[in-house]
Amino acid sequence: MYEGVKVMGINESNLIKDLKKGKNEAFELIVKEYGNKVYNLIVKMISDREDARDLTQDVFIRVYNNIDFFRGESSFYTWIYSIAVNCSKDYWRKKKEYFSLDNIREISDGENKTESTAETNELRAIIFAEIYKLDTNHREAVILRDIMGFSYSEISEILGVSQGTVKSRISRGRYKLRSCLQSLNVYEGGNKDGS
Amino acid sequence: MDHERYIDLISRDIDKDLSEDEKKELDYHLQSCEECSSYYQDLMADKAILDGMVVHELKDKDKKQIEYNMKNIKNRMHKMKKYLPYAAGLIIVLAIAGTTLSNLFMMGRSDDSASDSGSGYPGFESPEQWEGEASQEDIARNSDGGNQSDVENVEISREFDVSKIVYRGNISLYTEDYKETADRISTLVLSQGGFIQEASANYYDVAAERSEKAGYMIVRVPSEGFSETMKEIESYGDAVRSGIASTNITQQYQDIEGELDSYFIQEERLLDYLSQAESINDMLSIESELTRVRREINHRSTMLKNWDKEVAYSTININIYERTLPTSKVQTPFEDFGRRIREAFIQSVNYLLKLIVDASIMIVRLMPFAVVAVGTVYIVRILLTKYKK
Repeated sequence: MYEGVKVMGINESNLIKDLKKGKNEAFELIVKEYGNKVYNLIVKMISDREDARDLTQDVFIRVYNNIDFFRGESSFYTWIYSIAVNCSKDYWRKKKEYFSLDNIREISDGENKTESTAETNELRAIIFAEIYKLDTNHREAVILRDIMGFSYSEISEILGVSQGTVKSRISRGRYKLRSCLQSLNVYEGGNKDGS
Repeated sequence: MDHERYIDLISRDIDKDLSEDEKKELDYHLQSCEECSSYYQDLMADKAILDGMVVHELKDKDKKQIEYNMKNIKNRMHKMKKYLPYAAGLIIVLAIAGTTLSNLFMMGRSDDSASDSGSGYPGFESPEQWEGEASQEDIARNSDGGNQSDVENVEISREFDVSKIVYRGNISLYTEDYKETADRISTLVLSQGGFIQEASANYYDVAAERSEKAGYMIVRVPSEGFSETMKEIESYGDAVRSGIASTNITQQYQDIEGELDSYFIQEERLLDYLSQAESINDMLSIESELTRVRREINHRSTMLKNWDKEVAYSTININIYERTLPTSKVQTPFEDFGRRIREAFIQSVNYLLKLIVDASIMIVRLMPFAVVAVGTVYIVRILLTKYKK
């Protein structure tokens, strides 16, 4: 589970001020603090590491260009993630939502190599592939919750919708995903515990 | 059974979002509903599989690249900002140039219209009066004939009988001694061969225990000395208003003269018929017609005489106000405080209204520039966005 999003090890307001002034130190700090997190989110959103790298650059450029419009109504990090999600949605639209299974396999490997058997990785890739088949609203909600581990309130800020809507989208998304997986008989081999 | 509700509860339970009561309700339902129980277990299995995915990280060179890109954009924007004042200045210059040209154009139009309508000419109450009456200045200019640039006016003046013009003048005077001024005017008018048609004076209170004299005079002076008399009277005090008006009665005069000639001819013929009449009845009918013709002749002759008198003697209306000087009495500055406040307020309101109208016109005038400016900014922003990418 991705834990880093909840920890703010920097002075957010100073970082924002320095970004507005265009200080080079601020650029280094924001990339250091959020570079990996944004990249990881985008990789999971679009399942293509190469394109995710380019998109991550776009995200930080957008952050810099729009920093004057950040009013502090949400957390700074959720604002950055909202830009990342929007970039990913733009990417979905341009790419006509085509997701390569090879790419999905590539990004869906387990963290712990000793525990991640080939069978579990394959199951994960199948689930991932089905997640990408969900419609946009359900897809992004399920990825942000089940893959990225954001809380309901964080997802609410990132997507700019109410928490009730977030809960509903996650529930509906999971139900649709499960229906698809059911039809594929994903757990036929008795692999319900993920081992 | 409301499975949809339990599907939502299952989803929220996985995320540990249920209250105790909801959790109890869900557990109770799961014990009795195999379908929901299976769904719950499947979701938990999905979550377990999805947990623990590898966290993808950027390579250091990618991070450096991002930092480089951001710095690069900053530098480009800094360069762009240097040109912003020039761009803004250019837009302002264009706007001012456009406004000035527009103003010049409007001024040209207003000058034309002013000269057409004659508005603002002293002594004329309304443009209609001005249109109906030729001014003395025009007459003087027309009679001059020496100025080659006014050839057209001179040509008109040749067709224009200046001998049948009635002049009227209006003067408002402030003077320190009403009686002395009135006497001087009387002397002047009489010395010019004119006469005083009407005169009146009265006292009125201007403040507590203080009264002032004011009055008016209507004098008639020979037309030849009209202008000189006006100037002389104006010099007798502080003239606050002075105006001249004239009426050209040449056309009416000539019409009446023609009619009179015609009636004289009729009269001669009737007298001729009368001398040749043989019966009493003929004589009576001719006498009756002769009486009517002579009445018409008298009527028109009187009109012509009156007009001759009007033409020969110009009328000057003089309003005289006696103004006391501050000598022995302390004069309060508040005597016309209310009037001055009212006037100041009205002036301010008028100025404000004019300002609003002018501002509205200016906004409308600048609209085309604003459209161009907004369009330019929009295009520049699009280009900048592409440039940054």
